[in-house]
Amino acid sequence: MGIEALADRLGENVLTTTLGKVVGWGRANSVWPAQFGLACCAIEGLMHTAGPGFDIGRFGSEAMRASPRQSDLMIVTGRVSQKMAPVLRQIYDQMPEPKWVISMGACASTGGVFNNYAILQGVDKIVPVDVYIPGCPPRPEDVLNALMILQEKIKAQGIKPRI
Amino acid sequence: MTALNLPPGVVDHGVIAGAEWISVLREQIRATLANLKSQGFESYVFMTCVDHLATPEVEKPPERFELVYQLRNMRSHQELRVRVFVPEGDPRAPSAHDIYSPANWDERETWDMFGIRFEGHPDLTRILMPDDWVGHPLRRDFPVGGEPVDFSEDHEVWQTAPPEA
Amino acid sequence: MLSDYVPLLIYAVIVVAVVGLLITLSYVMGPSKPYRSKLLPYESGIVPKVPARQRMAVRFYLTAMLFIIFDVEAIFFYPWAVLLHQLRWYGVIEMFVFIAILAVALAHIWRKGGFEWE
Repeated sequence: MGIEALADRLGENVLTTTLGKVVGWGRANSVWPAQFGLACCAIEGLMHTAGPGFDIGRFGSEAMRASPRQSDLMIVTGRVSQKMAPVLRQIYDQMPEPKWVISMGACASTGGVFNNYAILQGVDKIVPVDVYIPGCPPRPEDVLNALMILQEKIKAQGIKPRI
Repeated sequence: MTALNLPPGVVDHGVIAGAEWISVLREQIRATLANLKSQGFESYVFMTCVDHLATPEVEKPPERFELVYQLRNMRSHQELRVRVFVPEGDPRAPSAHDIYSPANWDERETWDMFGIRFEGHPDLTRILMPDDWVGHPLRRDFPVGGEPVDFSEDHEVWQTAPPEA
Repeated sequence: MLSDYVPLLIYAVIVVAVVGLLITLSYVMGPSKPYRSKLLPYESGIVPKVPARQRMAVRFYLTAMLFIIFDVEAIFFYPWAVLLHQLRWYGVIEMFVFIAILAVALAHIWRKGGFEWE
């Protein structure tokens, strides 16, 4: 007797799904960002978005962890200077898998207005980025939009079990 | 100069945009700062440097680099600027960190950005740029850097979205 | 009387089962890609230059040891206090002998300077 037959017998009291969908749903709805506020975008993207007006908590991301060991998402908010770049890479490295990166703002995506020797011209030179948000600064709704795009990406990723 | 005893060794003085300044020789800078501090200029505001490589010839100062110290007397409400000229071929200056301790980091920044060595400084290392950076970025002959950007105005055909979008 | 504790047993079994399930699920389904940079101790993004295990003053160990000894002694008071009524005079005298033995030890440590911090 297959799963479908069993489900027919039990009627509407049973939901069937795949493990990948469940895990994807769980991962997408509880993305914990790391507190990686570098510059002005941190005010909009981390502080205002976590505040009551725009409320990133309804997406499950209210727990912005201080330690990269406990976070899945690194929202690079702000310009990355040459001196900060190795630190950013180290913190990215210390996040456990699965991890994602959102590059928020023009400075994190491409260097922004600062096209000079001191600022890294885009954080994708050192970490792989999943979603880019243009803007200077982007509105908190843009950050939520990027988070929703990332959630679709996470759900589509599925799982690769070790056994 | 309102009720200010000019310390010995002042080469020049004047007023620019309402700010009083005095100019001293490089060898006199420590004595001047100590004298001013004992006169009541105990508040050190900042120390910075100017690179006169691009200054027009009519106003060209004697040397390439100019150190500027801004001091403040909180009791008599006076501000004073001390200017020192440092030659390009010999970019050294005595350190003032034991007279005014905030000068410690300003001298590190001036070393990092302009390349002026401060003698007697306990730890003259880069403070803004990474430790292995080559060059002194705020000098006028240091390139701005960055990467070339492909602006749409450099192209014959404007790169905009098609009208259907 | 022992049957009063059956709910606790069921609870313990459920706890072990749930925790075991969570750990097993995360082992099976969680990705594991360790590399050297990831395994470094977290120090706000800089690479640690000084090892975390360094020499430590022995007085911390001494304080901990003294605390353990006298804390265990204090623990012995509790069952004694519960059963004191049944033990009558014999219990009181026995406890005083116990305290006296440990007081000798206390006096010895005090004289030897074990309670000095520096």
